[in-house]
Amino acid sequence: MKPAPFAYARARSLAQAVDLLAQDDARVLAGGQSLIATLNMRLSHPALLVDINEIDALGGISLRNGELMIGALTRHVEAERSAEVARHAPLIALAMPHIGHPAIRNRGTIGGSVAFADPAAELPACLLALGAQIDITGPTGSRTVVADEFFKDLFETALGARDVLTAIRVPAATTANRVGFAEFARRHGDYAIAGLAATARADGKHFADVRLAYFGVGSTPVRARHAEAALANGDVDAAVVALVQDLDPPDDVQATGAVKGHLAGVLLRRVARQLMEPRP
Amino acid sequence: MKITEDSPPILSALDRPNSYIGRSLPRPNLARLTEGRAQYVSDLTLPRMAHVAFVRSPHAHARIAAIDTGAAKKAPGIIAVVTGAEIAKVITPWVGVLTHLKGIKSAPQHAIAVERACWQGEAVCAVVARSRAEAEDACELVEVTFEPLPVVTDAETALDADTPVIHRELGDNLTFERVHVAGDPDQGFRDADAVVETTFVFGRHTGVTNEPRSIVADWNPGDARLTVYQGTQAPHMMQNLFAKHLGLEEHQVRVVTKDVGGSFGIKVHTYADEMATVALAKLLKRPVKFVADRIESFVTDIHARDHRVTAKIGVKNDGTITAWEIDDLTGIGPYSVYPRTSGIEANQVVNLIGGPYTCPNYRARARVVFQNKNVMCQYRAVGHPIATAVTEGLVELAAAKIGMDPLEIRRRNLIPDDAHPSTGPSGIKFEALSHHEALAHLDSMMNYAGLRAEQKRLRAQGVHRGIGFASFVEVTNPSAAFYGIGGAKISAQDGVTIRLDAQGAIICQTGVTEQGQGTEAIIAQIAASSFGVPMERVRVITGDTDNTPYGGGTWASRAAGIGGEAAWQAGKALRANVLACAASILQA
Amino acid sequence: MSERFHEIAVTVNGEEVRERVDARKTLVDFLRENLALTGSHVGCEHGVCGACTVRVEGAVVRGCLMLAVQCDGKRVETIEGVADSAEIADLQQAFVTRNALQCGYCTPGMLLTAQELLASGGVPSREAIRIHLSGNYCRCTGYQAIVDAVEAVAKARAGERA
Repeated sequence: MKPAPFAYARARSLAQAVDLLAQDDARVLAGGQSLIATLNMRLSHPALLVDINEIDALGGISLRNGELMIGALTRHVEAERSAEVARHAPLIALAMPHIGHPAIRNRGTIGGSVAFADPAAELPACLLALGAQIDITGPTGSRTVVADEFFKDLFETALGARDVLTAIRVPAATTANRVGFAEFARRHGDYAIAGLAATARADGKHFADVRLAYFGVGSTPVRARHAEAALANGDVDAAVVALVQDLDPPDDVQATGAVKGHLAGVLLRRVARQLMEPRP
Repeated sequence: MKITEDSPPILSALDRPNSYIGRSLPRPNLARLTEGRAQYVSDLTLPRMAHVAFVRSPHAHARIAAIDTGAAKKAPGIIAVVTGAEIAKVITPWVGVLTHLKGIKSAPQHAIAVERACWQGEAVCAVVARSRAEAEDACELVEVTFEPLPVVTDAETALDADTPVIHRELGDNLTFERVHVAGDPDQGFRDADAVVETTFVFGRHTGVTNEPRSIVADWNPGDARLTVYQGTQAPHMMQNLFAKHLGLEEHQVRVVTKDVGGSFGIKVHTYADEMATVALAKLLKRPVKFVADRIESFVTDIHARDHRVTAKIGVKNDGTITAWEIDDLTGIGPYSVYPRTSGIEANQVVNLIGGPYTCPNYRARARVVFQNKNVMCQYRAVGHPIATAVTEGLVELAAAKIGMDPLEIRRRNLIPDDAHPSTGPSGIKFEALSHHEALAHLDSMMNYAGLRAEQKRLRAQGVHRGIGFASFVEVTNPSAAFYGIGGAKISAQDGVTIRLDAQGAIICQTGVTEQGQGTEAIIAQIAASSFGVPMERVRVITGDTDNTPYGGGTWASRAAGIGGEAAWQAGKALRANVLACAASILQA
Repeated sequence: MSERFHEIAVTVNGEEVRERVDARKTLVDFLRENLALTGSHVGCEHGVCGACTVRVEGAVVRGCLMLAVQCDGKRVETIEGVADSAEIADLQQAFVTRNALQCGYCTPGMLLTAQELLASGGVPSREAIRIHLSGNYCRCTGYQAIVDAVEAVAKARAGERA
């Protein structure tokens, strides 16, 4: 399983990367943990790989204006160990240990995972649950797309062929923010059979701004809006029942749609319990 | 005054110096494996070595109308592009049948498909290049014109009148059928107070070795010698087959097996792409290497255990099993695998149903049918998983039906320990077994009564715990009755040649082989013990037909039983020689 | 600039190596084929089995998911270099004593990955060991002995430091 031949260029700057991507059939190479696997299997035959790993502007984790900004080239392991992520984006901190395995996390990047948008991946669902903003730079300049509009279809996002995802921004968590995360996978680190990333704001005895983002249940991460409304009223049982209106998981190699649907309910109960815990 | 000892020492043969049998010891060949200094066949390079990749059929069944290799031959790094028709001039096809499986039939299988591809993944063209990557590039340039043919993919309907016959000259899709009746099963079912019938379905699986199948073949026309480095369990068997199908004599062929990254029975069979690689080396007169990649492994490594078994058990209220009946349908690939045949697994199922129980009334029908799927044969535990799952499943169902404890029903049906030698319902001979003693030990070791009480308590809380048993007889260390009498050149014997070197070390050469299960260790343990030297002074040589006695290699747990026994006898014989020589020198 | 073949300079096990490589050549193939460092193995070529695990800039990575060209100017360590340095001598010994390997194919990857866990100190729980090694397949041992060996070394190292 050797890749088909391709040319390789290392971009030194974002502008240079966008320039290089103008070539037909050029692909961005960041962590490579998904891309190189697909190339090895000849599922893809790009003519050029544009390596963005040396672009300093794409790194870094910083807090500014009440937002946590995570540069696209942040390795999963950096985010996993980051005190700032733990404090300001606890949902992402919860999800990180589930992403792949240590060797994958040492190379894979936050930006890459979001751009690849595997429907069973953890980070896209986290971004959906956090109402994250995704910063993109392309041939016509820079723009921002909110998570709800970023994930379009199977492996299809708002990124164009010449775009580079540069950073993600999430609102910094306050003491009123609650988060919950759970997934089912056969082996620790595998893509999820089904998973749930959730945020809510505690408002006295109720929840406001409930966001339930399921993954592994469709071609993109899916907001379970009817379940969100029921959960906001504090009714977990009704929320579980409402899931059938929100989710219609297809069968896949891991499980049938019926099994995924059942697991979605189990995940909701577990995550609801987490949401009810005040932040330490 | 009485002198008493607090704890009188109890010495056994295991306590004398250089006594290693029965001890748990580190294996002597592990250090290199922890240092990255092993020698797997996939690691091997030879001068001028070329790499082969195969164009594989995307169709489960298709006629190969034409192969256009023009563009591929001009691709960078390409040495040769070879079709099935071309390689057939160098290597003959084979048929996976044995005479002791009455009526088994199969069609000739070529190293590279000639007229038809019969499963999705079957190789239809070989591309040889200076690198694997370049070979794969050129594979994409080979244009094969396929004419899809109707496919047979359902074992249940494979024998229906309107299902296409894969090999017309065979008449139907039946590879092998065996019917066995013992005792009086009809009467047995009449005598039963309860009859349970059910169907077991076993999904296809495969062994998935971490190191894929690997082979490097080197034909030296100057010596007229073929050297094949292969991750095989049975080097002598392969030596014979390479010679046979390439028109050579065995002494012209050397098979070498060093480290093997897992086998489990997967690497004991003959694979078309490996045979093609050897033929290419002869054709091109330079070394050729083939390492199956992971995707290739899934579509070409033998699959196993694709069975549907309908099964019936008759039981009396007192727990006595009165009859067994099974109908086993096995769906294999389009060819019976060579040389062991794809009938063996089904044959073993028929042999082993009814396990170590007394009931003599047994009817079995096993049918093996061709399909347009990957080839199927046996690996780890040959037939036992199917036979044991079915037998023990029926016993559990019978126990539940009459409301008897599962351990108790076994107690009432297992052949008594003192009743051996005995014969099982399939005719299999049991020399000496002790299931009752084992059962008694198990009962007390697991505190069965305690576990059942806990199970009951937990069930009241909605927690369901299962307690399962399986009693069976495992076939190991087989004689020539398994393969040899049917015409397969697979040695049931094995040998160890042992010599003392000038510095007092022992060198053992043996035909049994190592894939990580510890063969080198046990041969060293046994030889050191029987001769009487520290284990560090024992060197074991395996996996080389030039330098080991003719043997059968690894299968059916025979390395310890047969190879080990040979090591024991050889060690004693060497010791006797040495003592005789010493006596003469010392004029004792 | 956008070429298929590149000149790279990589430091492998402390030795600087200069080679011209096809951009598509993975790091593990480069190590095995160009440098004959066959201790790192290829099991799946899509990053799931861990047999190709090597260290780049001190961190374990999948050798099959990195390109050799990406290692220009970087420091790479394989099992051979780590073994020769005696850094994991205790871990290797524990694997041998406990028979934490059968065919040995997964072993280099297991050792490097385990060493990364142990290097952060402390005595990880058996669960933590299993989670850390979840990306390294073993088809022979059933993992129990591997966990035993890693746990034993963690305890021994912690005892030494105490």
